[in-house]
Amino acid sequence: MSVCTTDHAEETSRVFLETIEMMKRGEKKRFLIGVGHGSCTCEGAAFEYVVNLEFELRAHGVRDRAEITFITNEFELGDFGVDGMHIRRGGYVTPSRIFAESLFAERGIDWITKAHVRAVEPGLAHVETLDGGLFDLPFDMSMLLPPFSGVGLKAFNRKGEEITGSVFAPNGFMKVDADYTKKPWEEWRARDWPRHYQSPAYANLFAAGIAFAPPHPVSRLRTNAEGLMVSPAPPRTGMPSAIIGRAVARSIADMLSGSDKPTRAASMAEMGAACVASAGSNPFTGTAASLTMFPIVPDYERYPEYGRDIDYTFGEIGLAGHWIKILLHHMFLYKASLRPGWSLIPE
Amino acid sequence: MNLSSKEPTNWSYATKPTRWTVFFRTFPPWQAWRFVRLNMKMIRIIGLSHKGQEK
Repeated sequence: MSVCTTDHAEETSRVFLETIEMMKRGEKKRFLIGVGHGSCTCEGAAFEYVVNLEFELRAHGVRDRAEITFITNEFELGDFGVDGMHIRRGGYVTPSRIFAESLFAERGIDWITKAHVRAVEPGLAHVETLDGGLFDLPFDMSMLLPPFSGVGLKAFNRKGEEITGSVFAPNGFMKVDADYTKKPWEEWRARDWPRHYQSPAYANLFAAGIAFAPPHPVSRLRTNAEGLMVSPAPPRTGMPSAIIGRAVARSIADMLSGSDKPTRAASMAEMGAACVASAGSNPFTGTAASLTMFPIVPDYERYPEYGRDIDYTFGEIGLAGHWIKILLHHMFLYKASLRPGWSLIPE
Repeated sequence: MNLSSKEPTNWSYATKPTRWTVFFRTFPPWQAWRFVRLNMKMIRIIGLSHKGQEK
């Protein structure tokens, strides 16, 4: 049950409320939330979905009749497609896995990691894991994220010859100024990531936000004995997409004014991200996880120990995060409406 | 995965917050302070990330 469009959200709300009514009559229900493929990204969205679902079940007084399972392609919870992060807390530098597992344990949400959903039929998901396990998971209500891919555009040159392969990567995203050389995780570098998002084939083509083809994942690649990849793809939505969009727009404006090359750079290996993940929507009892990291793509040459600057990487959960979420909601709508001073609101 | 089961599950081995930690997560005076601190931290990251847009 998706909440990605208005129609989907209304349908999901209707089914969810019907399920709650059945639970109030004494029925037990199983919820399966997470990623629907071994190469999915945006695990944070599934994380928000499952903790909000649990929050709403508690609010409706039926939590004791619900069995909630989170299924993910992450090697460990808290990876989020960015290879996890480390945070100073309680005298230790602690991996994000500890906080993600803690939140799920506190709320009685079970989890399955390293998982790829092979097929889904009504009420049943067929699952394969990195260690070769095969099993079925029954459910009464489910939300499984689909994997990302490009829109499948075909490109042709002036002679009418197809050049799709030179403009787009096999996954449909556009190739830009990144280093796409195939290499093992040990040889991945922050400088592999694009800075200008300009096509190497055509100078007037740019791919901002999630449209560009990443040079490689951020999380380490893992495949099982059958060669099935079960590893998160890199997330690019939210703050990075918006900052990249602004940089590309400024570059294009400068090129239209006479510059012969892009004038603005926005590498994900040189920018940070702030993320607020809702964990319950209520202005008095709700909470949200507030996270920042710098940089998004770990740079082990600059920060050899953790790949990121620990002074700029933190996370905490609380009501304040939910207030920030409300504030951001109104600020972004204000900006999108182009009201006076909109351009002063940062991405 | 049965919530009423006594068998060990994933969450049997996870770190769990104390009662006070959970209380402070929704205690308005403390959260008002955290709201200010979190906004300052995020503004710092946003500023740092926009600096990277130079040539």
